[in-house]
Amino acid sequence: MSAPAELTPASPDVAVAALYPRAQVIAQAWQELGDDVAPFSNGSGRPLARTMKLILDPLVIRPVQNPGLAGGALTAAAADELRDRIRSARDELAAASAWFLELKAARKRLRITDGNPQEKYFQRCYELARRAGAPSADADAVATEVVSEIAQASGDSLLAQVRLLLRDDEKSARLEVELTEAWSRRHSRTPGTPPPSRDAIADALDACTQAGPGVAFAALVATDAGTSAASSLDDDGAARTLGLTRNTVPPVPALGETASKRDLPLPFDRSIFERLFAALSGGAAPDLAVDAQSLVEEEILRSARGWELGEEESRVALILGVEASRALDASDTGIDSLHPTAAHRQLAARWRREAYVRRALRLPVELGGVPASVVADVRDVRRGYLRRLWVRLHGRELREQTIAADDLWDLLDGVLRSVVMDQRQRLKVAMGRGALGPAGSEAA
Amino acid sequence: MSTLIRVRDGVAHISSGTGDPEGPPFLTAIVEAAGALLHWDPTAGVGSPDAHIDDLTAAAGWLSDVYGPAVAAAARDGEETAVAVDPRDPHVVDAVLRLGHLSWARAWWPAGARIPALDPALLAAEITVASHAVSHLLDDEDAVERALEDAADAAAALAELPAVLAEEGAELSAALSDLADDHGVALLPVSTRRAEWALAAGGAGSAPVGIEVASGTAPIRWADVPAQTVDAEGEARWSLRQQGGATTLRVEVPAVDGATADALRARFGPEDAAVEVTLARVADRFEGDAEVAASVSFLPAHERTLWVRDPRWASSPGAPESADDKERALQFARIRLHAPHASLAERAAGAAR
Repeated sequence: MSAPAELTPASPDVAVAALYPRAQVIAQAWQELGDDVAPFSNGSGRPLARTMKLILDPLVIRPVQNPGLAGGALTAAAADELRDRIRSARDELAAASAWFLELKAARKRLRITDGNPQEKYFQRCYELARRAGAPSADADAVATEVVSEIAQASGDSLLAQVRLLLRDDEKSARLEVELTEAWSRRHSRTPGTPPPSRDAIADALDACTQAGPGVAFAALVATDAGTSAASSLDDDGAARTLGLTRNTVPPVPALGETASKRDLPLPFDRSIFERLFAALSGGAAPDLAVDAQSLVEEEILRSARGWELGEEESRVALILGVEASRALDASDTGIDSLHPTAAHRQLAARWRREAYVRRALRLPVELGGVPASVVADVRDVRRGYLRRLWVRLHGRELREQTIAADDLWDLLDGVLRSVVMDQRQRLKVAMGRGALGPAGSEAA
Repeated sequence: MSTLIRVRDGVAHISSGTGDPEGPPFLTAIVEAAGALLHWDPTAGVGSPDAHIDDLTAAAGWLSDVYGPAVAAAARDGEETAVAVDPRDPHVVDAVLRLGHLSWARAWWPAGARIPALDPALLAAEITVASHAVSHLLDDEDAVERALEDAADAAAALAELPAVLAEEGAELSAALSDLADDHGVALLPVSTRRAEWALAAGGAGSAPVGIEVASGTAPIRWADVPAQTVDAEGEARWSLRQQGGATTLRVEVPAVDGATADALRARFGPEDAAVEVTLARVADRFEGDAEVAASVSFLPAHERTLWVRDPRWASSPGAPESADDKERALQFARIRLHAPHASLAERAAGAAR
């Protein structure tokens, strides 16, 4: 299994630069590794989604450094290079797999039950493999140390520090001043550039469903399109229409010091503490040596910026989501009614498909006898979508995962998938057929 | 086997020609794959699923595995053509068909007096392992985690399997707890059992009083009631009785063994003067009584209609389901109970007879 000729070129007519589906190239190279990487593989011997996201992409393939290895389709040369990269990581991947088993055993010994071990340990396993090779005589001790360290560095322990900070009267008084100042600067802000044109937004939404250089997205970021579009949010009810606040204009957030996962307010109505809580609770700590003080200060500054987000890339992603999600609202007349973009079409297709899927799964479709809160969620899918999109973007900022053009469609589509799956889970619970577990309760 | 490919408005349809996307839901198995919905008639013994592909980029990773390179290329190029199906990885196709079948069984298994119910906990355990087998092509990246949560109480069911299936049960149990460890999902210990499934029906019910003056039966739409509650082969029966000047409507619906349902309702009579009856589990059936006006006895025959449903599933009466289609599902289920390649849940139900 070495020559690219075994694969089907995606475009047989293009003799010079035949293309190969990237996922297929990876799957084939991965299968050569066999049982050595079983803990990182699914029941068909393909890499797990988290293996891709946490190990292969960021640590082995590294598409950011090797742009030729990014995207959905590869040239013959890139396919060869990608295959070589996976093959030459064979020993490290096998050692990392063995480490995962050690870490899982240590977790059991320490009776740790929080979080998803794949999510928490995969990356660390690969680092261990690089540094120490395969587990050896001291594996038990090393695994115990690593697992306890990860448990202590959780988002929850960072949140505990934030809570302490906010309960300190003197320090929280200073933070209140920072908050007021940041927001008074915000109110005196005047829009500098005109809002982005419909064409510019439509171009980005057409391009995002395909692999490509992401020129349209970059252009929106370069012209601060997200920031300039944010000034419209101060109009009466604009942010409320989008489901981001219950207020007519976004209020100055409180500092806060408590939060409950089941009962978080809408994004712009969340306190500074609730914002941090939503992003960090139950998950890993941000991968940077950040302390509670600077975490809170950054959140204060972020809250006062356009869309209450810190990065222009996030703001642009949000305005693209605002436009694309019009496809979910039959009564809306956006770009989509006359000239739907690829993103509009595909989001609408996913949403339409849901009724068919619910019928096939013997779940209620008409919703006549379903609890009102679930019905409201289904009817108001666009607001739910934008709320969750904001939460995802905010969470990525805290983890310094800036949105690139390549991530955009995964994000816009993935948010709708997640909203739809949550609705389905809530229906099952209402029908007495399921339990609300962690997978069905993203803090949005 | 060859398959037809049509591309319309950016959506590619792959079809063997035997499946009907508009067929009744109870004859539709589905798997939600990345970029596509796979669907087929679970009773038809198909070799590969039909597909609606609305995101070819997302589907590119698995199309050849399931259909072969020629079909993948034709779908991509938007050709309207017939191409031979030649899956690159037949194991993946089998695993997809298996997952879809299990999900179908969870939703539509036609349990009743003649077909024993499937244990939902066993099904959930099998769905978890089947989801793990094809997780790389599923739309939902959290499919395994979600399935694990549904299967949290499977340990007891797996431990209680009859001796001939015990070894398989132990293997499935080990696979399940391995996946639970991988995902940090806590399974319940063997001693915990979902209560409603173990509950036996109570009470013999009260004998009807008075003189029966009219009676009739009506079919029940499967889509109008929850899975494995009402006997799939049963009909709803109504009767009007008179005693001492009072008229009573009684509705009886045969129940699946061990099933509880607290929200079944029956509606009798014309829409503008319908009588609503709440049904409760009594002995081998769901049953309810309501005192009605004497005029109900004089309704013309075509207005003596009876509609049984769980209002959460159906808020208005739908078109009758085809008796032939239902018979296909019933016939299929009867065979599955003793088929060697059937799921553990099906064979366990068959062995328990």
